[in-house]
Amino acid sequence: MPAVQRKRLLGVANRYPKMTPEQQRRIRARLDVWSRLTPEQRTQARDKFIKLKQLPPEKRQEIKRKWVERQQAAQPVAPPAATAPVQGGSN
Amino acid sequence: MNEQEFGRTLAGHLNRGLTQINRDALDRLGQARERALAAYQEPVDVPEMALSAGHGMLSGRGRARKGRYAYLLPILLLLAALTFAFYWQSAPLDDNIDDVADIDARLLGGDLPIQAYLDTSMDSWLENSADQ
Repeated sequence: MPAVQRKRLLGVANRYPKMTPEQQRRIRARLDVWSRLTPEQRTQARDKFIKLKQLPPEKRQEIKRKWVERQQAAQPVAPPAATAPVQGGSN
Repeated sequence: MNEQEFGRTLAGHLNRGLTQINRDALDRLGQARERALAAYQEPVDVPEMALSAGHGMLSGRGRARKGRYAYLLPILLLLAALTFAFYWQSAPLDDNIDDVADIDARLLGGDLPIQAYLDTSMDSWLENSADQ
C-alpha cells in the first residue's frame, strides 16, 4: 500500500473513536471495498461526496432517495414461491 | 672531498668571480634587480568560487584548512536547500493528507455506500441539482 494511502487510512483511524456506533459500523463494513479501489476511483468518490455535501439539504436528500430507489429497482426480483407442491408420480 | 668542503670551495670560486665582474655588468645586474623588485607583488588569494568569498579572511593555517574543507560548503548549502525543499513540499502534503483523511472518514461513515459515489448516474443528478 502506498505511503500516502496508509497515512490517509491512519487519519481515518484517528477519527474513528469520535464517531457514532453506526458510523463506526459503516466504516468497518466499507473499509475493505475502499482499500480495493484504484486511486482514481477514490478520487472520483471524494469529488462526488464533496459536491453532494455542497448541495442544500433537500437536494442532497433527493439525490440519496433517487439512488436508493434505483438500487431497489435494479435488484433482481425473486421468483414467486411455488404455491402447490409438485405432484409426484406415485400411485 | 666531502660535501661541506666542496660547498666551501664552490663558494670561494663564486666570490672570486663576483669580484672580477666589470662595472658595466654590475650596473646592469643592479638595474635588473631593481626592475624585478618593482614588478614583484605580494600574492593575492583569489576566491575559487563566488560562494567561498568569505574565506578570504583566513590566513596561515586557516588557508590550509580552507583548501581541505572548501568542498564542504557547497555540499552543506545543497543539503540545506534540499531540507528546505523537503519541508516546503511535505508540509502542504501532510495538510492535504489530513484533509483527505477527513473526507474519507465522513464518506466511509456516511449513509450512502461507496458504490453510490462511483455510480455514473450520480454525476448527472449532481449536475442537475447544481444547475437548479
